[in-house]
Amino acid sequence: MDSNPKDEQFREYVLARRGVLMREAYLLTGDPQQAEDLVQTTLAKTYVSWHRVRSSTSPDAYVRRILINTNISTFRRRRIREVLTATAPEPAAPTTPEHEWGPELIDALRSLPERQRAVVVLRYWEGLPEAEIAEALGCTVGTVRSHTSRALKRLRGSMHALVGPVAVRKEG
Amino acid sequence: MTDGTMEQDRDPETWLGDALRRHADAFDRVGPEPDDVIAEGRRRVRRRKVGVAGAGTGGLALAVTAGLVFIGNPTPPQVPVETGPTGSVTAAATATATATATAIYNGPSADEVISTGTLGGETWSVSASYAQAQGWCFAVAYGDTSSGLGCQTGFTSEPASDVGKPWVRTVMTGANFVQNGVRTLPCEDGVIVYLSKDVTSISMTAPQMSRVTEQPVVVLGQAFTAFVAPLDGAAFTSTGSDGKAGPAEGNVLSGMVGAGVCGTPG
Repeated sequence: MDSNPKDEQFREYVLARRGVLMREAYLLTGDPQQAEDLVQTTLAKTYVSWHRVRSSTSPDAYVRRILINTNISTFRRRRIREVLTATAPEPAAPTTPEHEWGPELIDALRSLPERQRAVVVLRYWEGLPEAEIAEALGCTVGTVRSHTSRALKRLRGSMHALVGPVAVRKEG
Repeated sequence: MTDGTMEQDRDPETWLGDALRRHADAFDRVGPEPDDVIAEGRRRVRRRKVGVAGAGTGGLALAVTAGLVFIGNPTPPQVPVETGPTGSVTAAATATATATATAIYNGPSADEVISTGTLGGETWSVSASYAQAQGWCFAVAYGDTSSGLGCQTGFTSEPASDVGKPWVRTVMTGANFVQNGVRTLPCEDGVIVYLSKDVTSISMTAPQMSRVTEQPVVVLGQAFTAFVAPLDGAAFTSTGSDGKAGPAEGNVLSGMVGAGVCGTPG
């Protein structure tokens, strides 16, 4: 593939950020394959708008917004094929240590509406302040707070239902 | 050993953050390769960012309807163009259509010629080499006045300077190009045909033709309806309100991403 300065910059960006984007996409989608597709699409859109991304005050925030919006629009297209249930038909026996939720956490995340899920990932995984989350989602800070509150309530309920109360291991 | 506290009841900043980090960190897929992403990005660019230069009313119709980047100004008079689904365009260029087309044909050597236009309220300033670097594909609209005899001799009239410049394609516009009413369209990917309100019927050999605009495009007070036909080598006939074939308001874009355009006669 022929190369130019723009492509070189873009390659560097992809190599530096694709790991983080993959993990974020995985938390947003709950599915490895969908995560890969989401990141591929996100970065392709980023390439198209690269001159704007590069000149923005925060390229990472710009790309994050593409990722989230792409996931939301993709979710809307596929949700007619996706059936969410309150409980798994055959819950697997927990195989993780006490406080290390694996599939249960992803299941609980996937039970959230997509915008609530995005808020959870951005706030508790990325550690973003509410204002940045609001910018990423194109909504107000108040909406972020209400999404957060509802998401936590549902997550607590889901986790209790899936694995029961989990005791915290006291360190030390 | 536990302290009797339930994990989920702790500060969510702690328990949820920790849980998400543990889970995400265990997801170790590498992600897409940069060159694969670039290849897909370029395909998207070519699909979506097609410039139209040398545009008369037909070029404007193409730009507006297909959501393309409009470059250059229409041959006089400069007019705002109202559209259906894709917003509005008001041409505000300083270069004439012909100059823009010439600049693009000359490629990077004509960098000093900058074309501007507005699309959807956003102003575009573009040079030929910049556009080429972006992977844009340009459609150069030839109308009756700019291409003259070329319009009447069909696609063979494309300037030799096109050769080797895959980012330049030609739109034939104007009534003369299809003045005989029937043309074979040597398009590789498809054609969009705009019909003026005077056209009462159209027939095409293409097996598929679907309407692509929900409402007419209005150019210079004339309503057009856009159709797209994915075909290779189709012929169409249009009939005017007087019952005669042509002068048709159908024009084609030669062998590119599937767009053709008409202008008002002349």
